[in-house]
Amino acid sequence: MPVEGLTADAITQHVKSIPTLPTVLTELSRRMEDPKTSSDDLAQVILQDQAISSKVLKLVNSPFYGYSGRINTINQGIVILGFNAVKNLVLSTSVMEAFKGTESSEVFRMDHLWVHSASVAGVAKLLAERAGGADPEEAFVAGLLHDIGKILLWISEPKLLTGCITASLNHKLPLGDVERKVIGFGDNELAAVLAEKWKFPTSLKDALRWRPQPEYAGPNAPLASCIHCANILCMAMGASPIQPPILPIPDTKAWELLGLHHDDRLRPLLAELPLRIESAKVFVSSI
Amino acid sequence: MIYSTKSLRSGLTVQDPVRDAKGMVLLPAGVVLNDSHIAQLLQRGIPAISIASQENEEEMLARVAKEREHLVAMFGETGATPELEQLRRLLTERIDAG
Repeated sequence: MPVEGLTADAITQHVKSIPTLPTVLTELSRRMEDPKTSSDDLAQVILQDQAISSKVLKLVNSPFYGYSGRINTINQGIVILGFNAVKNLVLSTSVMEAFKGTESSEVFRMDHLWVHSASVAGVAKLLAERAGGADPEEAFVAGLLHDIGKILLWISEPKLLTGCITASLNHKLPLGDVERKVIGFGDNELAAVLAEKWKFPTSLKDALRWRPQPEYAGPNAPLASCIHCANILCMAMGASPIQPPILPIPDTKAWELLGLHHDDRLRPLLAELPLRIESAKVFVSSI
Repeated sequence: MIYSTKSLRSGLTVQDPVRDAKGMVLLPAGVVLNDSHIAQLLQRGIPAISIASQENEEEMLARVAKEREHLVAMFGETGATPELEQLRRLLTERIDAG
């Protein structure tokens, strides 16, 4: 029986420690709506926050992000990668920064969670590049942030999440399924509430909300499919927030949309994953 | 076996070609690493590479048994679907290939 009266909205309202995102993000969104804004203007906005600026540069130049050149300045990043890509990177680093300092436990390790998330980001980007239908940069951000609901659940209801993890391992059921049975909703719904609160773009919000069932994401189903499949593949290859993971059931439509039902697509992808996961570990340990 | 570049040491053998972000081969398969190779990999920001196995047969069998056990645990009680079966088959194939 789900916990009575507990809703995703209630959790987000009751958590006093929900971090706020930096003002640079709001200012960036505002300036991007103005067609007269130049790349230099945007760079100046980002540079107001030195911590975010240096993290964005670190992220974009790290091997796991996958850009083949060297980007030395924010302005150069905007010119090469585009406004949206850089805004997405600011968003990612802001969220990672906002949850910095969240404590771990034996069953819920934040370092494992971020390695998993960074791995999912890299693989989701790869899937978007190869299959089309979703913006690879957006797939990267959605992958990096897909578990923010789990972090929020951990901060707000640590005993409840610990109980769900234990039940998942004992009954050998995927964690999301246990959450839905025990709490009444999955951490993906918390991610969506958080995305709403933080005014994420609709596409990102839909992808986070519908990760377990990508087809419900409407026009954003390809983006949701990328993180749905990347999540399962990274867990299967050992990058999981919970050890050992119980794999969620892949959604047939998402799997086929990305061509993963063909062995000659999935086999080489699996072969690529160990190196990508190692890169994600190196990246997470460096931020 | 995947080794992070920081944990490499001279004498290990490269299993798969090491490429930079542009796809250029930096070290071909079969090269026995020396200090200069490792310094070059670190300098170029290569996070990890694939190294030929150093295991003896007993160690290899123990690892394969552990990986198979992990694989069984991951598939839990969720039941078989074509996608999970495909994933299980390809992961088993990887374990058997070492």
